Amino acid sequence: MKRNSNDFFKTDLTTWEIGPYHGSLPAPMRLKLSLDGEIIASCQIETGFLHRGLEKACELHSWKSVIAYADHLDPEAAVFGELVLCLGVEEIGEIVVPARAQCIRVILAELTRISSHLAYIVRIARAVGSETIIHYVLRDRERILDLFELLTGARFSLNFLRFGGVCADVTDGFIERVLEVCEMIRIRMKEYNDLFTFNHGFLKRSAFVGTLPTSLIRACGMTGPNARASGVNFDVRKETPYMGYDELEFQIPLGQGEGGNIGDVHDRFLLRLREISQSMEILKQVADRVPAGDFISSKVEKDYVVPPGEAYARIESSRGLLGCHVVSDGKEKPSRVQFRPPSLAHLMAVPELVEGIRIEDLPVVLASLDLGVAEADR
Amino acid sequence: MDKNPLISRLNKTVPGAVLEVRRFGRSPISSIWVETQSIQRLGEALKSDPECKFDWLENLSVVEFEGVFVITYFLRSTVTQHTVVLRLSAVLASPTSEVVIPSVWKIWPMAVPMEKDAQEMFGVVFKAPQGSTTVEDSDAKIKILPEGWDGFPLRKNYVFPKEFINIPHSRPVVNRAIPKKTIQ
Repeated sequence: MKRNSNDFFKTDLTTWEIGPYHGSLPAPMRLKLSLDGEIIASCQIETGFLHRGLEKACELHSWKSVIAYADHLDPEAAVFGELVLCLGVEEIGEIVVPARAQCIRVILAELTRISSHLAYIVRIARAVGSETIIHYVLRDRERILDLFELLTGARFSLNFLRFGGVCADVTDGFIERVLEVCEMIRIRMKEYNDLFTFNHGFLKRSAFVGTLPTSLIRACGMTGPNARASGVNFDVRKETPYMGYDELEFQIPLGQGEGGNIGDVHDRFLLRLREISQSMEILKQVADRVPAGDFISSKVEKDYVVPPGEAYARIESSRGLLGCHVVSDGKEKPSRVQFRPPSLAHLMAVPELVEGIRIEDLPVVLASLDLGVAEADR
Repeated sequence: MDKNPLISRLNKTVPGAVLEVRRFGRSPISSIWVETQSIQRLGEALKSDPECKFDWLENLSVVEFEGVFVITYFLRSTVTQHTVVLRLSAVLASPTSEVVIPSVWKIWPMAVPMEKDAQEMFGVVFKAPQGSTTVEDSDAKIKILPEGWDGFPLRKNYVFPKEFINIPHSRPVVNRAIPKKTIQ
């Protein structure tokens, strides 16, 4: 909970610098903290340690190669980078994606969302020192990575999407295995809840801690599960549906403050669990309706060149609104590929959010924000 | 009288600021080309517009076309869900000089990391109104390039350094031959 400056102990302030590499940080970044006893009086955050020149690299390579670079935007949720780039290019080229390819893309996107949220559970469990749940969750996440491997041959950095569709058709039995994994995770969710979600120790560390006010969300432009946990009802899949999400029935969970406040660490954690459930609902619906047909548009052939033009595509990644401004001048390389990563806004909120919390809560609050520093640094 | 009621209102509030209205790419969204020095007044007008309330700067993108920077503001209303694209251009005086654009972070605070990003990567300096704090005063030091990096990497004329702090840069990434001009 944020405190007024009058609430501090008025002791001599101590300055701590943490990072860029430290066990309590979810990713490389540097925090400069000013401490009043155990309370964080002020915080400065510095990023940029994972900059790879991704946008420049996109301008230096052929359109086809750029998909592999977009894939590296967020290594943990690689499909979203590919998807947003493909949607932008398809808008420029007026490419209609076949229904079968759309279904395969949605399956991959929702599996990635579940996988990313499971990794989130691992990070937050590590931050509160709960080792057992980490093994449970990682074991189940492996099953999703197995599915990626079955479909694409890769467990991370899938590089599977193509302009106008996907690289290959689904293998025999893939859809059935997706449903099996959904059922397995549905059963395991009860185990997570029994073991961790409503565990007294976890509640003590997460309830009423790191509450994100709506005003801060609006000021920083935060989106995704972090914003929805604080009651901001915004999801790109509902607001401007893409890839056939408008034909699917699913709900957008919002924070309810069961453990503590609306928008605290526990609420953000619970919201991810609910999103996993909704993703499984989506997967079941899509699995029932995968039509026969092409897996890539016939318009995208060997001689296809992206025509001159520009587009701004936006999707809901596992961390929030992921945008991509694509500009083509009709040549073999992109003129500009600019990403709008959701984690940039989350990082911007960190200094104000951690002000007034205890130093022991810092790793938990940082883990609860699901900061994708790789996508913010690009 | 302009057919678009938003443009009519903008023309009344900030006369002469709107230069042209086009479609953005192939989307139905309007892209409004505006006069560079009017961006702050236009931003305030758009944010307080009674019918649209563009209170969210969703994205800020810079594109270079042969020495001309086009800065694109993707605006959205969290109240009415309206979307609009604001665009302005700035000509580069010399290949190494910086371009100065009025900052909009006082209107949309979420612009801070985006403006800093454009400043580092393109050399587009976003100048805050006199007397107000600048983006440099923000607690979020969201930067991309390492200390001491020379030049603006996303400019088209950028030449890659041969070394940085005694680390040689040996990857031949510039002018790599592309075997086919096709997409499979």
